[in-house]
Amino acid sequence: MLAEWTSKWIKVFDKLNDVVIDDFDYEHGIHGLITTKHCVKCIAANQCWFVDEKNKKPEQMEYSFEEILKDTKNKRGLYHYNCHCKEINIPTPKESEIKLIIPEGKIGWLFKDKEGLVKKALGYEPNDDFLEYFKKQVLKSYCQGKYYILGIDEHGVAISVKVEINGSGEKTGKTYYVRSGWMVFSNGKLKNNTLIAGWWLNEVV
Amino acid sequence: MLAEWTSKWIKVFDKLNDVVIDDFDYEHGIHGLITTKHCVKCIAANQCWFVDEKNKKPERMEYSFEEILKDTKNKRGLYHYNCHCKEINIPAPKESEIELIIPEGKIGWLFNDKEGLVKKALGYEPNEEFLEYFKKQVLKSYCKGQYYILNINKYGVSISIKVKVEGSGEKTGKTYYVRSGWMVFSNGKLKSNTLIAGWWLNEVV
Amino acid sequence: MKLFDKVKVLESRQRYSEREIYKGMIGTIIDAEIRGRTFNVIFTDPTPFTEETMYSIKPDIICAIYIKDLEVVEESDCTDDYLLINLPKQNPKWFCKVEDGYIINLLGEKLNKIPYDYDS
Repeated sequence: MLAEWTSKWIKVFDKLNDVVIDDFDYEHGIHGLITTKHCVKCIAANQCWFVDEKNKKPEQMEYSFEEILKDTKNKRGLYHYNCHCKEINIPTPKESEIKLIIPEGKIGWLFKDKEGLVKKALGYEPNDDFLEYFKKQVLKSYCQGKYYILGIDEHGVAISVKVEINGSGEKTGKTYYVRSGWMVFSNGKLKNNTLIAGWWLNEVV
Repeated sequence: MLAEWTSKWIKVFDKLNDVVIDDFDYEHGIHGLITTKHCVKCIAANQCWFVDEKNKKPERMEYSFEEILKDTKNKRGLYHYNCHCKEINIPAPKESEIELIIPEGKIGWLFNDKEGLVKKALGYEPNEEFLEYFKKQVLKSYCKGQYYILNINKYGVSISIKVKVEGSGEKTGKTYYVRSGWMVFSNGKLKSNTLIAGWWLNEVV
Repeated sequence: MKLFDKVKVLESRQRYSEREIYKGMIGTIIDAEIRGRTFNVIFTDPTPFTEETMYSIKPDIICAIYIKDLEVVEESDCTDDYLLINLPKQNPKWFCKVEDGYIINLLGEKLNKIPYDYDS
Protein backbone atom coordinates (compact mmCIF):
# COMPACT_ATOMS: atom_id res chain seq x y z
CA MET A 1 0.00 0.00 0.00
CA LEU A 2 2.81 2.34 0.95
CA ALA A 3 4.46 1.58 -2.35
CA GLU A 4 1.27 2.57 -4.14
CA TRP A 5 1.08 5.89 -2.41
CA THR A 6 4.71 6.64 -3.00
CA SER A 7 4.05 6.22 -6.70
CA LYS A 8 5.02 8.94 -9.07
CA TRP A 9 1.52 9.35 -10.43
CA ILE A 10 -0.65 12.40 -9.93
CA LYS A 11 -4.17 13.33 -10.80
CA VAL A 12 -5.05 16.89 -11.79
CA PHE A 13 -8.07 18.09 -9.87
CA ASP A 14 -10.04 21.32 -10.07
CA LYS A 15 -12.53 21.34 -7.22
CA LEU A 16 -14.45 24.20 -8.80
CA ASN A 17 -14.96 22.49 -12.13
CA ASP A 18 -16.80 19.22 -12.74
CA VAL A 19 -16.36 19.35 -16.48
CA VAL A 20 -13.78 16.93 -17.91
CA ILE A 21 -12.47 16.33 -21.41
CA ASP A 22 -14.74 13.28 -21.80
CA ASP A 23 -17.78 15.57 -21.79
CA PHE A 24 -16.98 17.09 -25.19
CA ASP A 25 -17.56 15.59 -28.59
CA TYR A 26 -14.52 14.42 -30.51
CA GLU A 27 -15.08 16.73 -33.44
CA HIS A 28 -15.20 20.08 -31.66
CA GLY A 29 -13.34 19.34 -28.45
CA ILE A 30 -13.58 21.84 -25.58
CA HIS A 31 -15.90 24.68 -26.52
CA GLY A 32 -18.82 26.74 -25.28
CA LEU A 33 -19.51 28.85 -22.21
CA ILE A 34 -17.34 26.80 -19.91
CA THR A 35 -14.24 28.23 -21.60
CA THR A 36 -15.08 31.72 -20.33
CA LYS A 37 -14.80 30.40 -16.76
CA HIS A 38 -11.97 27.89 -17.10
CA CYS A 39 -9.02 27.75 -19.42
CA VAL A 40 -8.79 25.00 -22.04
CA LYS A 41 -5.66 23.52 -20.51
CA CYS A 42 -7.33 23.17 -17.11
CA ILE A 43 -10.43 21.52 -18.56
CA ALA A 44 -8.28 19.24 -20.71
CA ALA A 45 -6.27 18.08 -17.71
CA ASN A 46 -9.05 17.98 -15.10
CA GLN A 47 -9.23 14.60 -13.32
CA CYS A 48 -6.66 13.06 -15.64
CA TRP A 49 -3.78 10.91 -14.42
CA PHE A 50 -0.16 11.62 -15.24
CA VAL A 51 3.30 10.54 -14.21
CA ASP A 52 4.78 13.26 -12.03
CA GLU A 53 7.69 14.02 -14.39
CA LYS A 54 8.53 16.65 -16.91
CA ASN A 55 6.93 15.97 -20.32
CA LYS A 56 4.60 13.41 -18.75
CA LYS A 57 2.23 15.87 -17.12
CA PRO A 58 0.97 19.32 -18.17
CA GLU A 59 3.66 21.87 -17.47
CA GLN A 60 3.13 24.13 -14.51
CA MET A 61 3.24 27.85 -15.06
CA GLU A 62 6.68 29.35 -14.59
CA TYR A 63 6.68 31.92 -11.80
CA SER A 64 10.30 33.03 -11.83
CA PHE A 65 10.96 36.72 -11.08
CA GLU A 66 11.64 37.30 -14.76
CA GLU A 67 8.41 35.60 -15.78
CA ILE A 68 6.36 37.53 -13.23
CA LEU A 69 7.86 40.81 -14.35
CA LYS A 70 7.35 39.95 -18.01
CA ASP A 71 3.84 38.75 -17.31
CA THR A 72 2.69 41.87 -15.55
CA LYS A 73 4.59 44.32 -17.76
CA ASN A 74 1.85 44.97 -20.27
CA LYS A 75 -0.89 44.85 -17.68
CA ARG A 76 0.44 47.60 -15.43
CA GLY A 77 -2.06 50.44 -15.75
CA LEU A 78 -2.34 53.81 -14.05
CA TYR A 79 -4.43 52.78 -11.04
CA HIS A 80 -4.45 48.97 -11.28
CA TYR A 81 -3.56 46.11 -13.59
CA ASN A 82 -5.33 46.41 -16.96
CA CYS A 83 -6.39 49.99 -16.14
CA HIS A 84 -7.23 52.03 -19.23
CA CYS A 85 -6.92 55.44 -17.57
CA LYS A 86 -4.28 57.87 -18.81
CA GLU A 87 -3.15 61.24 -17.53
CA ILE A 88 -3.33 63.88 -20.25
CA ASN A 89 -1.70 67.28 -19.90
CA ILE A 90 -4.15 70.18 -19.97
CA PRO A 91 -3.66 73.96 -19.72
CA THR A 92 -4.01 75.53 -16.29
CA PRO A 93 -7.76 76.00 -15.87
CA LYS A 94 -9.19 79.52 -15.86
CA GLU A 95 -11.70 80.52 -13.23
CA SER A 96 -14.26 81.02 -15.98
CA GLU A 97 -13.86 77.38 -17.02
CA ILE A 98 -14.79 75.97 -13.64
CA LYS A 99 -18.41 75.23 -12.97
CA LEU A 100 -19.39 75.05 -9.34
CA ILE A 101 -22.31 72.74 -8.58
CA ILE A 102 -23.83 73.66 -5.24
CA PRO A 103 -26.97 71.75 -4.27
CA GLU A 104 -29.53 74.03 -2.63
CA GLY A 105 -29.25 72.30 0.70
CA LYS A 106 -25.56 73.14 1.03
CA ILE A 107 -26.28 76.85 1.11
CA GLY A 108 -28.89 76.40 3.81
CA TRP A 109 -26.42 74.26 5.72
CA LEU A 110 -23.71 76.95 5.48
CA PHE A 111 -26.00 79.72 6.64
CA LYS A 112 -27.35 77.59 9.48
CA ASP A 113 -24.52 75.42 10.68
CA LYS A 114 -21.70 77.88 10.02
CA GLU A 115 -23.58 81.07 10.86
CA GLY A 116 -21.36 81.72 13.87
CA LEU A 117 -18.19 81.25 11.89
CA VAL A 118 -19.32 83.45 9.02
CA LYS A 119 -20.71 86.20 11.28
CA LYS A 120 -18.54 86.23 14.36
CA ALA A 121 -15.24 84.90 13.08
CA LEU A 122 -15.17 86.36 9.55
CA GLY A 123 -17.40 89.39 10.07
CA TYR A 124 -19.81 88.70 7.19
CA GLU A 125 -23.55 88.47 7.01
CA PRO A 126 -24.48 84.96 5.87
CA ASN A 127 -26.25 86.05 2.69
CA ASP A 128 -25.99 85.84 -1.09
CA ASP A 129 -23.34 88.59 -1.23
CA PHE A 130 -21.07 86.55 0.99
CA LEU A 131 -21.83 83.41 -1.02
CA GLU A 132 -20.81 85.09 -4.27
CA TYR A 133 -17.59 86.40 -2.71
CA PHE A 134 -16.87 82.97 -1.25
CA LYS A 135 -17.40 81.23 -4.60
CA LYS A 136 -14.93 83.58 -6.28
CA GLN A 137 -12.36 82.85 -3.61
CA VAL A 138 -12.90 79.10 -4.08
CA LEU A 139 -12.35 79.43 -7.84
CA LYS A 140 -9.20 81.48 -7.31
CA SER A 141 -7.68 78.98 -4.89
CA TYR A 142 -8.64 75.94 -6.92
CA CYS A 143 -7.14 77.35 -10.12
CA GLN A 144 -3.98 78.06 -8.18
CA GLY A 145 -3.94 74.40 -7.18
CA LYS A 146 -4.41 75.12 -3.48
CA TYR A 147 -6.12 71.88 -2.57
CA TYR A 148 -5.35 68.35 -1.57
CA ILE A 149 -7.15 65.06 -2.01
CA LEU A 150 -9.05 63.74 1.00
CA GLY A 151 -10.15 60.44 -0.46
CA ILE A 152 -11.78 58.69 -3.38
CA ASP A 153 -15.06 56.83 -3.09
CA GLU A 154 -18.40 56.28 -4.82
CA HIS A 155 -19.17 59.98 -4.51
CA GLY A 156 -16.02 60.97 -6.37
CA VAL A 157 -12.60 62.41 -5.68
CA ALA A 158 -13.02 64.52 -2.53
CA ILE A 159 -10.74 67.51 -2.17
CA SER A 160 -10.23 70.19 0.45
CA VAL A 161 -9.63 73.65 -1.02
CA LYS A 162 -7.72 76.28 1.00
CA VAL A 163 -9.85 79.42 0.66
CA GLU A 164 -8.53 82.87 1.62
CA ILE A 165 -11.13 85.16 3.20
CA ASN A 166 -10.47 88.80 3.95
CA GLY A 167 -12.30 89.70 7.15
CA SER A 168 -15.21 92.09 6.97
CA GLY A 169 -16.90 94.46 9.46
CA GLU A 170 -15.07 94.16 12.75
CA LYS A 171 -12.64 91.76 11.13
CA THR A 172 -11.61 94.08 8.32
CA GLY A 173 -7.85 93.99 7.70
CA LYS A 174 -7.51 90.41 8.85
CA THR A 175 -7.03 87.42 6.58
CA TYR A 176 -8.46 83.99 7.31
CA TYR A 177 -8.04 80.61 5.65
CA VAL A 178 -10.94 78.20 5.68
CA ARG A 179 -11.34 74.73 4.20
CA SER A 180 -13.99 74.07 1.61
CA GLY A 181 -14.92 70.52 0.64
CA TRP A 182 -15.65 69.62 -2.98
CA MET A 183 -15.91 66.64 -5.25
CA VAL A 184 -13.95 66.90 -8.48
CA PHE A 185 -16.41 66.25 -11.29
CA SER A 186 -15.64 65.82 -14.96
CA ASN A 187 -14.12 68.50 -17.16
CA GLY A 188 -13.68 71.28 -14.65
CA LYS A 189 -16.83 70.85 -12.60
CA LEU A 190 -16.67 70.90 -8.82
CA LYS A 191 -19.59 69.62 -6.80
CA ASN A 192 -19.86 71.01 -3.35
CA ASN A 193 -19.53 68.82 -0.29
CA THR A 194 -19.51 71.51 2.34
CA LEU A 195 -18.91 75.18 1.62
CA ILE A 196 -17.01 75.84 4.82
CA ALA A 197 -15.77 72.74 6.62
CA GLY A 198 -13.84 74.74 9.22
CA TRP A 199 -10.47 76.43 9.54
CA TRP A 200 -7.56 75.54 7.35
CA LEU A 201 -5.00 73.85 9.54
CA ASN A 202 -1.32 73.67 8.77
CA GLU A 203 -1.48 71.61 5.58
CA VAL A 204 0.91 72.88 2.93
CA VAL A 205 -0.67 73.09 -0.52
CA MET B 1 -0.03 79.36 -25.36
CA LEU B 2 3.21 77.57 -24.54
CA ALA B 3 2.83 78.61 -20.93
CA GLU B 4 -0.61 77.06 -20.87
CA TRP B 5 0.62 73.74 -22.16
CA THR B 6 3.52 73.65 -19.76
CA SER B 7 1.00 73.85 -16.95
CA LYS B 8 1.07 71.30 -14.18
CA TRP B 9 -2.52 70.24 -14.71
CA ILE B 10 -3.62 66.88 -16.02
CA LYS B 11 -6.91 65.32 -16.97
CA VAL B 12 -7.60 61.65 -16.30
CA PHE B 13 -9.03 59.99 -19.37
CA ASP B 14 -10.32 56.46 -19.94
CA LYS B 15 -11.02 56.07 -23.62
CA LEU B 16 -13.00 52.88 -23.02
CA ASN B 17 -15.36 54.39 -20.46
CA ASP B 18 -17.84 57.21 -21.03
CA VAL B 19 -19.21 57.09 -17.50
CA VAL B 20 -18.09 59.98 -15.33
CA ILE B 21 -18.75 60.66 -11.66
CA ASP B 22 -21.39 63.29 -12.51
CA ASP B 23 -23.76 60.55 -13.61
CA PHE B 24 -22.54 57.64 -11.56
CA ASP B 25 -24.73 55.94 -10.48
CA TYR B 26 -28.32 56.93 -10.21
CA GLU B 27 -29.59 53.70 -11.66
CA HIS B 28 -27.35 50.77 -10.97
CA GLY B 29 -25.73 51.27 -7.59
CA ILE B 30 -22.30 49.98 -6.73
CA HIS B 31 -23.29 46.49 -7.76
CA GLY B 32 -24.39 47.74 -11.16
CA LEU B 33 -22.92 46.59 -14.41
CA ILE B 34 -20.49 49.44 -14.83
CA THR B 35 -18.48 48.58 -11.72
CA THR B 36 -17.90 45.04 -12.95
CA LYS B 37 -16.10 46.58 -15.92
CA HIS B 38 -14.38 49.55 -14.28
CA CYS B 39 -13.19 50.17 -10.76
CA VAL B 40 -14.77 52.89 -8.63
CA LYS B 41 -11.54 54.88 -8.50
CA CYS B 42 -11.31 54.97 -12.30
CA ILE B 43 -14.92 56.08 -12.67
CA ALA B 44 -14.45 58.69 -9.93
CA ALA B 45 -11.41 60.17 -11.70
CA ASN B 46 -12.51 59.81 -15.33
CA GLN B 47 -12.28 63.13 -17.22
CA CYS B 48 -11.49 65.06 -14.06
CA TRP B 49 -8.78 67.71 -13.83
CA PHE B 50 -6.00 67.61 -11.26
CA VAL B 51 -2.71 69.30 -10.49
CA ASP B 52 0.09 66.92 -11.44
CA GLU B 53 1.49 66.64 -7.91
CA LYS B 54 1.34 64.12 -5.10
CA ASN B 55 -1.84 64.46 -2.99
CA LYS B 56 -3.42 66.60 -5.70
CA LYS B 57 -4.23 63.80 -8.10
CA PRO B 58 -5.33 60.19 -7.56
CA GLU B 59 -2.31 58.11 -6.62
CA ARG B 60 -0.94 55.79 -9.25
CA MET B 61 -0.62 52.14 -8.45
CA GLU B 62 2.76 51.20 -7.00
CA TYR B 63 4.55 48.73 -9.24
CA SER B 64 7.75 48.22 -7.29
CA PHE B 65 9.28 44.79 -7.50
CA GLU B 66 8.08 43.99 -3.97
CA GLU B 67 4.56 45.14 -4.80
CA ILE B 68 4.42 43.05 -7.93
CA LEU B 69 5.61 39.98 -6.08
CA LYS B 70 3.16 40.59 -3.23
CA ASP B 71 0.37 41.25 -5.68
CA THR B 72 0.78 38.07 -7.61
CA LYS B 73 1.63 35.85 -4.66
CA ASN B 74 -1.85 34.63 -3.87
CA LYS B 75 -2.86 34.46 -7.48
CA ARG B 76 -0.17 32.07 -8.66
CA GLY B 77 -2.00 28.88 -9.61
CA LEU B 78 -0.81 25.62 -11.13
CA TYR B 79 -1.21 26.51 -14.80
CA HIS B 80 -1.99 30.24 -14.69
CA TYR B 81 -2.86 33.06 -12.30
CA ASN B 82 -5.99 32.25 -10.29
CA CYS B 83 -5.90 28.62 -11.45
CA HIS B 84 -7.80 26.25 -9.17
CA CYS B 85 -6.16 23.07 -10.41
CA LYS B 86 -4.12 20.98 -7.99
CA GLU B 87 -1.95 17.94 -8.48
CA ILE B 88 -3.04 15.10 -6.17
CA ASN B 89 -0.87 12.05 -5.59
CA ILE B 90 -2.49 8.80 -6.68
CA PRO B 91 -1.31 5.16 -6.59
CA ALA B 92 0.37 3.89 -9.75
CA PRO B 93 -2.52 2.78 -11.97
CA LYS B 94 -3.09 -0.92 -12.63
CA GLU B 95 -3.74 -2.12 -16.16
CA SER B 96 -7.22 -3.22 -15.07
CA GLU B 97 -8.05 0.34 -14.05
CA ILE B 98 -7.38 1.80 -17.47
CA GLU B 99 -10.28 2.05 -19.88
CA LEU B 100 -9.29 2.28 -23.54
CA ILE B 101 -11.74 4.13 -25.75
CA ILE B 102 -11.17 3.19 -29.37
CA PRO B 103 -13.63 4.63 -31.87
CA GLU B 104 -14.50 2.04 -34.52
CA GLY B 105 -12.92 4.06 -37.31
CA LYS B 106 -9.53 3.90 -35.63
CA ILE B 107 -9.47 0.11 -35.94
CA GLY B 108 -10.38 0.27 -39.62
CA TRP B 109 -7.70 2.87 -40.08
CA LEU B 110 -5.09 0.65 -38.42
CA PHE B 111 -5.98 -2.39 -40.49
CA ASN B 112 -6.15 -0.35 -43.64
CA ASP B 113 -3.45 2.31 -43.38
CA LYS B 114 -0.96 0.36 -41.29
CA GLU B 115 -1.60 -3.02 -42.89
CA GLY B 116 1.90 -3.16 -44.33
CA LEU B 117 3.54 -2.26 -41.03
CA VAL B 118 1.50 -4.80 -39.08
CA LYS B 119 1.90 -7.56 -41.63
CA LYS B 120 5.30 -7.13 -43.17
CA ALA B 121 7.24 -5.38 -40.44
CA LEU B 122 5.75 -6.99 -37.32
CA GLY B 123 4.65 -10.29 -38.81
CA TYR B 124 1.04 -10.16 -37.61
CA GLU B 125 -2.26 -10.54 -39.36
CA PRO B 126 -4.21 -7.30 -38.95
CA ASN B 127 -7.14 -8.83 -37.06
CA GLU B 128 -8.93 -8.81 -33.71
CA GLU B 129 -6.34 -11.06 -32.17
CA PHE B 130 -3.55 -8.63 -32.98
CA LEU B 131 -5.72 -5.77 -31.72
CA GLU B 132 -6.23 -7.45 -28.36
CA TYR B 133 -2.49 -8.13 -28.06
CA PHE B 134 -1.69 -4.55 -29.00
CA LYS B 135 -4.13 -3.12 -26.47
CA LYS B 136 -2.50 -5.17 -23.71
CA GLN B 137 0.90 -3.83 -24.72
CA VAL B 138 -0.44 -0.27 -24.69
CA LEU B 139 -1.79 -0.75 -21.16
CA LYS B 140 1.48 -2.24 -20.00
CA SER B 141 3.55 0.64 -21.37
CA TYR B 142 1.20 3.33 -20.16
CA CYS B 143 1.11 1.94 -16.62
CA LYS B 144 4.90 1.95 -16.62
CA GLY B 145 4.75 5.61 -17.62
CA GLN B 146 6.38 5.03 -21.00
CA TYR B 147 4.83 8.01 -22.73
CA TYR B 148 5.35 11.68 -23.25
CA ILE B 149 3.01 14.60 -23.84
CA LEU B 150 2.73 15.81 -27.43
CA ASN B 151 0.51 18.81 -26.80
CA ILE B 152 -2.54 20.11 -24.98
CA ASN B 153 -5.41 21.69 -26.85
CA LYS B 154 -9.17 21.77 -26.95
CA TYR B 155 -9.25 18.05 -27.79
CA GLY B 156 -7.39 17.13 -24.63
CA VAL B 157 -3.91 16.14 -23.50
CA SER B 158 -2.37 14.16 -26.33
CA ILE B 159 0.33 11.62 -25.53
CA SER B 160 2.56 9.28 -27.46
CA ILE B 161 3.05 5.83 -25.86
CA LYS B 162 6.10 3.69 -26.55
CA VAL B 163 4.59 0.24 -27.23
CA LYS B 164 6.75 -2.85 -27.27
CA VAL B 165 5.66 -5.43 -29.89
CA GLU B 166 7.24 -8.87 -30.08
CA GLY B 167 7.56 -9.90 -33.73
CA SER B 168 5.42 -12.76 -35.00
CA GLY B 169 5.62 -15.24 -37.89
CA GLU B 170 8.78 -14.44 -39.82
CA LYS B 171 9.63 -11.77 -37.25
CA THR B 172 9.46 -14.03 -34.22
CA GLY B 173 12.31 -13.39 -31.81
CA LYS B 174 12.59 -9.75 -32.74
CA THR B 175 11.36 -6.84 -30.64
CA TYR B 176 9.94 -3.66 -32.09
CA TYR B 177 8.86 -0.36 -30.57
CA VAL B 178 5.99 1.58 -32.13
CA ARG B 179 4.34 4.83 -31.14
CA SER B 180 0.67 4.87 -30.25
CA GLY B 181 -1.21 8.18 -29.99
CA TRP B 182 -3.84 8.69 -27.27
CA MET B 183 -5.77 11.39 -25.51
CA VAL B 184 -5.67 11.25 -21.73
CA PHE B 185 -9.27 11.29 -20.53
CA SER B 186 -10.49 11.58 -16.96
CA ASN B 187 -9.85 9.02 -14.24
CA GLY B 188 -7.74 6.53 -16.15
CA LYS B 189 -9.45 6.60 -19.53
CA LEU B 190 -7.41 6.82 -22.71
CA LYS B 191 -9.02 7.68 -26.03
CA SER B 192 -7.20 6.49 -29.11
CA ASN B 193 -5.90 9.01 -31.61
CA THR B 194 -4.06 6.56 -33.78
CA LEU B 195 -3.30 3.01 -32.70
CA ILE B 196 0.03 2.84 -34.48
CA ALA B 197 1.50 6.17 -35.50
CA GLY B 198 4.78 4.69 -36.72
CA TRP B 199 8.07 3.58 -35.26
CA TRP B 200 9.27 4.83 -31.93
CA LEU B 201 12.24 7.05 -32.55
CA ASN B 202 14.91 7.78 -30.01
CA GLU B 203 12.82 9.57 -27.41
CA VAL B 204 13.71 8.50 -23.87
CA VAL B 205 10.67 7.84 -21.72
CA MET C 1 -33.54 57.95 5.86
CA LYS C 2 -32.85 60.96 3.67
CA LEU C 3 -31.06 64.29 3.31
CA PHE C 4 -30.31 66.09 6.60
CA ASP C 5 -31.43 63.18 8.79
CA LYS C 6 -29.15 62.69 11.79
CA VAL C 7 -27.67 59.22 11.58
CA LYS C 8 -25.55 56.94 13.73
CA VAL C 9 -22.72 54.79 12.35
CA LEU C 10 -23.35 51.15 13.28
CA GLU C 11 -20.12 49.56 12.04
CA SER C 12 -16.41 50.27 12.00
CA ARG C 13 -14.66 49.84 8.68
CA GLN C 14 -11.22 50.69 7.40
CA ARG C 15 -12.63 53.09 4.83
CA TYR C 16 -14.31 55.00 7.67
CA SER C 17 -11.40 54.92 10.10
CA GLU C 18 -9.16 56.32 7.37
CA ARG C 19 -11.25 59.48 7.76
CA GLU C 20 -11.40 59.13 11.54
CA ILE C 21 -15.00 57.97 11.57
CA TYR C 22 -15.85 55.18 13.98
CA LYS C 23 -18.81 53.09 15.13
CA GLY C 24 -21.23 55.07 17.28
CA MET C 25 -20.47 58.50 15.83
CA ILE C 26 -23.44 60.64 14.86
CA GLY C 27 -23.50 62.77 11.73
CA THR C 28 -25.90 64.35 9.26
CA ILE C 29 -26.67 63.18 5.71
CA ILE C 30 -25.28 66.03 3.67
CA ASP C 31 -26.01 64.94 0.09
CA ALA C 32 -29.40 64.03 -1.29
CA GLU C 33 -28.24 61.33 -3.67
CA ILE C 34 -27.23 57.77 -2.85
CA ARG C 35 -24.16 56.56 -4.71
CA GLY C 36 -22.94 53.00 -4.51
CA ARG C 37 -25.48 52.31 -1.73
CA THR C 38 -23.81 54.95 0.43
CA PHE C 39 -24.91 58.31 1.77
CA ASN C 40 -22.43 61.14 2.21
CA VAL C 41 -22.50 61.98 5.91
CA ILE C 42 -20.98 65.05 7.57
CA PHE C 43 -19.55 64.84 11.06
CA THR C 44 -19.08 68.14 12.87
CA ASP C 45 -17.22 69.08 16.04
CA PRO C 46 -19.91 69.16 18.78
CA THR C 47 -18.04 71.89 20.69
CA PRO C 48 -20.39 74.90 21.12
CA PHE C 49 -19.36 77.89 18.98
CA THR C 50 -18.31 80.70 21.31
CA GLU C 51 -15.82 83.55 21.27
CA GLU C 52 -13.37 81.28 23.07
CA THR C 53 -13.81 78.20 20.94
CA MET C 54 -14.46 79.68 17.51
CA TYR C 55 -10.89 79.45 16.25
CA SER C 56 -10.21 76.00 17.69
CA ILE C 57 -13.24 74.08 16.48
CA LYS C 58 -12.20 71.04 14.46
CA PRO C 59 -13.00 70.86 10.75
CA ASP C 60 -15.97 68.88 9.50
CA ILE C 61 -15.37 65.41 8.12
CA ILE C 62 -17.42 64.03 5.25
CA CYS C 63 -17.48 60.32 4.62
CA ALA C 64 -19.50 58.01 2.38
CA ILE C 65 -21.20 55.50 4.72
CA TYR C 66 -22.96 52.36 3.56
CA ILE C 67 -26.69 52.52 4.16
CA LYS C 68 -26.49 49.15 5.88
CA ASP C 69 -24.19 50.80 8.45
CA LEU C 70 -26.53 53.69 9.26
CA GLU C 71 -29.42 54.19 11.67
CA VAL C 72 -31.63 57.27 11.81
CA VAL C 73 -31.37 59.17 15.08
CA GLU C 74 -33.44 62.21 14.13
CA GLU C 75 -35.47 62.78 10.99
CA SER C 76 -35.28 65.99 8.98
CA ASP C 77 -38.31 67.68 7.50
CA CYS C 78 -37.08 67.48 3.89
CA THR C 79 -39.90 67.11 1.40
CA ASP C 80 -39.66 65.21 -1.87
CA ASP C 81 -39.66 68.55 -3.72
CA TYR C 82 -36.67 69.69 -1.69
CA LEU C 83 -34.91 66.39 -2.32
CA LEU C 84 -35.50 66.77 -6.05
CA ILE C 85 -33.87 70.20 -6.27
CA ASN C 86 -30.88 68.79 -4.42
CA LEU C 87 -30.44 65.79 -6.69
CA PRO C 88 -27.87 65.93 -9.50
CA LYS C 89 -29.48 67.51 -12.55
CA GLN C 90 -32.73 67.29 -10.60
CA ASN C 91 -33.08 63.75 -11.89
CA PRO C 92 -35.84 61.92 -9.97
CA LYS C 93 -34.28 58.57 -10.89
CA TRP C 94 -31.45 59.03 -8.40
CA PHE C 95 -31.95 56.84 -5.39
CA CYS C 96 -32.27 59.18 -2.44
CA LYS C 97 -34.37 57.66 0.34
CA VAL C 98 -34.54 54.57 2.49
CA GLU C 99 -38.04 53.55 3.53
CA ASP C 100 -39.32 50.27 4.99
CA GLY C 101 -36.02 48.55 4.25
CA TYR C 102 -35.86 49.65 0.62
CA ILE C 103 -33.59 52.12 -1.14
CA ILE C 104 -35.97 54.09 -3.34
CA ASN C 105 -36.01 57.02 -5.73
CA LEU C 106 -38.59 59.75 -6.16
CA LEU C 107 -40.42 57.61 -8.72
CA GLY C 108 -40.93 54.97 -6.04
CA GLU C 109 -38.58 52.48 -7.72
CA LYS C 110 -36.70 50.10 -5.43
CA LEU C 111 -32.99 49.33 -5.68
CA ASN C 112 -32.58 46.37 -3.29
CA LYS C 113 -34.60 43.24 -3.89
CA ILE C 114 -34.89 41.99 -0.31
CA PRO C 115 -36.11 44.46 2.34
CA TYR C 116 -33.39 45.51 4.80
CA ASP C 117 -30.76 43.66 2.77
CA TYR C 118 -29.23 46.72 1.17
CA ASP C 119 -26.77 44.70 -0.89
CA SER C 120 -29.49 42.63 -2.56
